[in-house]
Amino acid sequence: MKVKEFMKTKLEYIDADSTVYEAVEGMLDKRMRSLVVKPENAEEVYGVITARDVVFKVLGKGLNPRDVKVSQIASKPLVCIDQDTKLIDAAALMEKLDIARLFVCEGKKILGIFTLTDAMGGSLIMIARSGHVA
Amino acid sequence: MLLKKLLAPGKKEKAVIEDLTRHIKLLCSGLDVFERAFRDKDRDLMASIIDLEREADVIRRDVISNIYEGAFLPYLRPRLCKFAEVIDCVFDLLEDAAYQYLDLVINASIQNYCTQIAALNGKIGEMLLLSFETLMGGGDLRDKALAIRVYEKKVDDIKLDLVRDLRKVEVKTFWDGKALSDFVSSLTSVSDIIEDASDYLQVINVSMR
Amino acid sequence: MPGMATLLPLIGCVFIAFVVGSNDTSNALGICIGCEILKFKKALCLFGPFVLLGAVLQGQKVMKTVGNDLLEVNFSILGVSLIVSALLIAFSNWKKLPLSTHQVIVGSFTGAGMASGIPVSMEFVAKIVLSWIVSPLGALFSALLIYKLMEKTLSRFSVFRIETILKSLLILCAIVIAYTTGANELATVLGGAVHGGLFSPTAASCGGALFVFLGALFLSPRVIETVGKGITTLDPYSGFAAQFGAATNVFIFTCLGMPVSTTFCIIGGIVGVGALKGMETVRFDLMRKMMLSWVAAPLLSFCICFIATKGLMFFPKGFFWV
Repeated sequence: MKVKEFMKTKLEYIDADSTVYEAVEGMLDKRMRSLVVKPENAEEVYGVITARDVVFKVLGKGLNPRDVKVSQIASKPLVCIDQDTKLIDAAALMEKLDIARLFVCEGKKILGIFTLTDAMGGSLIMIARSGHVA
Repeated sequence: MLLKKLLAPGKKEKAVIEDLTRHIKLLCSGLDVFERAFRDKDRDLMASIIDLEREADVIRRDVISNIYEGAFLPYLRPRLCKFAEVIDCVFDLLEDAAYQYLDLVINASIQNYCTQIAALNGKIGEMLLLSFETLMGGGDLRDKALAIRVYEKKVDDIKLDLVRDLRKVEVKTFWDGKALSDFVSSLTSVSDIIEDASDYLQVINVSMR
Repeated sequence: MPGMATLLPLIGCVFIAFVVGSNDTSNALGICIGCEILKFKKALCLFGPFVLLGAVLQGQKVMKTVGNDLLEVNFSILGVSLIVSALLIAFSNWKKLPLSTHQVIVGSFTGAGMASGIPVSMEFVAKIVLSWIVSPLGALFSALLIYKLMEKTLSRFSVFRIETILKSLLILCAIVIAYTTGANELATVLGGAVHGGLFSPTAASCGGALFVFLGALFLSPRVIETVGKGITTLDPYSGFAAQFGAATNVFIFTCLGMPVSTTFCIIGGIVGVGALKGMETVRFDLMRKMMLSWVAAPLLSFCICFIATKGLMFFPKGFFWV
């Protein structure tokens, strides 16, 4: 089974010079745990800001989210995989890099996002279909 | 050999099991036809769902009449009848969606969402068939029930975005808007009812253990 | 032999056998007919032969306990006891009281025996009373064990296979209960008549089985319908476990020669499986009724028979009294 069957195609973006406060607003409003950070200029690449980044790098350090820019804490570049990547390989990659999400890309285009929850759901469906994960 | 014959289900029970299997397989065909018809914008293919629904009605009636003619213990009968009726509800929703589609022009902004939901509905239907086959084989239904719930949650997630974008669609008249809203409602309810059917199978499974 | 002395016990036996057929057939066939596993006529064709088989093959032990070990019956005691028993059973049917046939008959024989001065074996009275107490308890625990065993063994099969197996088991249960109806219930009714010299065991068994069958044929359908509807609300596991627990216990006590009630054993079995699902499901009001009738039935029949016997002893010898 491939990641394209389980990825989410709905992505939310945020500008790099927005504040972390605006990012938190966006995440809560859209009920998401990450936002794709648009590149500041043509030379920059896409990044991602996650709930983990907000809590560990800003709130946990006692910083004011209104004073911190998204670009200061976003992770760059995105970790991308092909849409035909097998579920099990994607899970292995997440484990290796200790990350909770992968971006499904085709060249420079972002097709979707594949998270831990998608991996779990996908594995359940694989077990139900064939009795094992592979 | 004699023991196997003694322990094999009776004629009426066999007929009910075969009919229920046919009923669910027909549902899977219906969901598959719907997905293809919607994706390819094939109205003739979409109209054929109405015939499938009629065929499903016939099977449902056979199931219920065989059950009440004495198939299975009284304890199991209402549950099996209810299961057949829940499957029939899914067909009714599919038929409604098909009827509504025939008079609609689907906006490009929501076409993609609806295609995804139709595809997921097909997968949920397949999982329900697997569940029923597992029930007949005496296996554990838990993983199949969980898989159906995972699919249903995916549909709910897409539905959230679909409904949000739907409100931005311009409609000419109230009836156009109602037809579109009814179509989306029917399409998104299919997964909910199939989830109910799966829960019913779980109830049947645990009631005899 | 005086004509009345043979006619009265005969009437008593026939009547009580008929009532056993009308009331107790539901113990054996209630679930099978209620679940539509068997139609009434087919079920009856299964019931009759097994009642006869039970009476012929194993009825001797219970017949001996009631008709010989408890006390040495004579025609007079036989006549009074069976007529009083028949009247009490008829009254209890009319008023819908849960009086057990066994308890009424044993109480009547004991009362008539004591009133006429014939030695009654208190050892056997104690044994029989103990059996009445132990048998429903035994059925309770048997039902629990059987339920647990079924859970462990049948769970691996598919729902539909379990359902088919249960149907076969319920028919088996019906057969066992039909057999014990002949070997225990009918034997209790006939014990006195056989050991009193009225009939041979074979003739009594055949005749008794015939009247049980006739009672079942003419009067049991309505009872079966009522009982069957009530029992089928039980889940199949519980229904079978309760019935089979009762059946095995009655069989064991039959082998021991003790007259016990299948109905009370089934109640014990139902309480047992009900308790598995939580004590709040146990019908304590039903159990209280059962315990009340345990005491009432033998006492009532004892007192009435005692008084009747004493009264009849005033008649000149030869008229009624042998």
